[in-house]
Amino acid sequence: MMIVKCENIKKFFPGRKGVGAVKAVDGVSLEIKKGRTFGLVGESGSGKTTLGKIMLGILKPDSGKVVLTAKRTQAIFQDPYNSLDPKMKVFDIISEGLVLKKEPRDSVIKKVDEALELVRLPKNALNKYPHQFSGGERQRIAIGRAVVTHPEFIVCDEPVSSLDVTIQLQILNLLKDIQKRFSITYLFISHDLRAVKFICDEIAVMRQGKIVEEGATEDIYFNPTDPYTRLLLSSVLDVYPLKT
Amino acid sequence: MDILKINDLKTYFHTKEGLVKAVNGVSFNIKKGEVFGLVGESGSGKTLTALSILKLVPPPGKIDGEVLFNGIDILKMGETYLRGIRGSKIAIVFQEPSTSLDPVFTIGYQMMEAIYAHRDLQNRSRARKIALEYLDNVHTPDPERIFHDYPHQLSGGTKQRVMIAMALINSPELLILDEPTTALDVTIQAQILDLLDEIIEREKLSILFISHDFGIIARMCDRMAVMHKGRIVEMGDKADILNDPKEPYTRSLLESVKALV
Repeated sequence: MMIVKCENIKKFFPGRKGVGAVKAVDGVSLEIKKGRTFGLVGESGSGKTTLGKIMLGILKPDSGKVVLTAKRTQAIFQDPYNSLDPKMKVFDIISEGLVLKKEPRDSVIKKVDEALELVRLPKNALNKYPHQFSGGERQRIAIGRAVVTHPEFIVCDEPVSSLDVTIQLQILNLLKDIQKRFSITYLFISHDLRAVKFICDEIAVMRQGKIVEEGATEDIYFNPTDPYTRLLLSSVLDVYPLKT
Repeated sequence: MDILKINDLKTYFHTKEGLVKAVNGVSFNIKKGEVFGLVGESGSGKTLTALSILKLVPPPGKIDGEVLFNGIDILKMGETYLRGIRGSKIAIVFQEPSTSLDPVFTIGYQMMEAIYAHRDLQNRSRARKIALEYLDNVHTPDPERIFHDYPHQLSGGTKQRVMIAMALINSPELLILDEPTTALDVTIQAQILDLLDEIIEREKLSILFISHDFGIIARMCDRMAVMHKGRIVEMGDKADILNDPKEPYTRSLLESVKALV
């Protein structure tokens, strides 16, 4: 069963004087199946984030169609320093989505507690502010805020890019666990091929608004056919095997 | 022969919350012509170690210990001496090229400023020629155009090439690279690392290479040290540390790296 389907999506942004229009997304079609993690890989400016926003309905495409069967969607962003309101306590941050939907108070408290436990933060976190947490903990708060509404589809936009590698691994494992328990579908946007390989079932490689290659993670990783995909893969610096 | 020898370097900050020991007794040496890697997670004290070497730690930071550059203790020297060293004998390239360059001056102006600061040369056309030569050395696409460009007109990769050109312009003996490719895309990172390889080979530079990325350290360095909470927990030959880490902390870091390969 598919959760999102994009058909020939185009989104251009008007250029400034002397610069042509920016073809952020230029004719993209793809399908994401329920319970899977779909990786959208590409370098900065390739149109990954714009496409993610279009899938969520935050941006309207110039042309093309998005079919979204998920009723509840959520997003997790790269930088938890920016995505969390510094003046809100963690309880208010996580509960905001429920409060906006006018959930009764006792149900809100129960769901926030569950979300907190899910992302493995201690209970006393609820009365603190974002600046009192480390980067990894803040990303847990952002994930808690996303999962509290029981979404079916989450757009994860570079969720581990600003974290240290040990913390990256923790967050990626947490995302995997959550997916297993609630069969959530992820769109995982990243420029980091290592993280993508770790978590994604399928990958699409984007460049200049277009998908240049798409397929199962293993296939793309071990048998890339597109020259740009090959260039990306050859640019990854592996520590092992080290032959010196 | 050591170009740099650091003995028991301590950089402390007295804050309202108490004493922060950002660098807490670090010792290492860099031999002439060596690429020495300093790896660690964010907050481990890598950058402050680099800043301490040039006595550039912001207040209320207090530096203690010895930083011997060609046998002379930099920390004991006055501002005049330091100004002669910084950007000349010891140059540094930071992570974020857009914040290292001044947005209101052209690239050419900023490069010539660096030349005037350290060379006994006030001849405009001569300085301009040197700047263009160095822009060419780092393989920027069109030196003449870039010379007249403002920083915002350049891509991240080109900006970092400019920063490297500026670092090299006064023929430093020691180059400190603090996460020079972290803000760049992987394909651009690969190009910049190739450029650094070429420069290290050509100029016979000694390098302190700071990074959180074991992949880069593995690619670039001869010897390396692992930093954690202001201390060096393990130091030695690159291959020894990466293939057979002795410290539990290094091991745990490398486990994460391996899981994400």
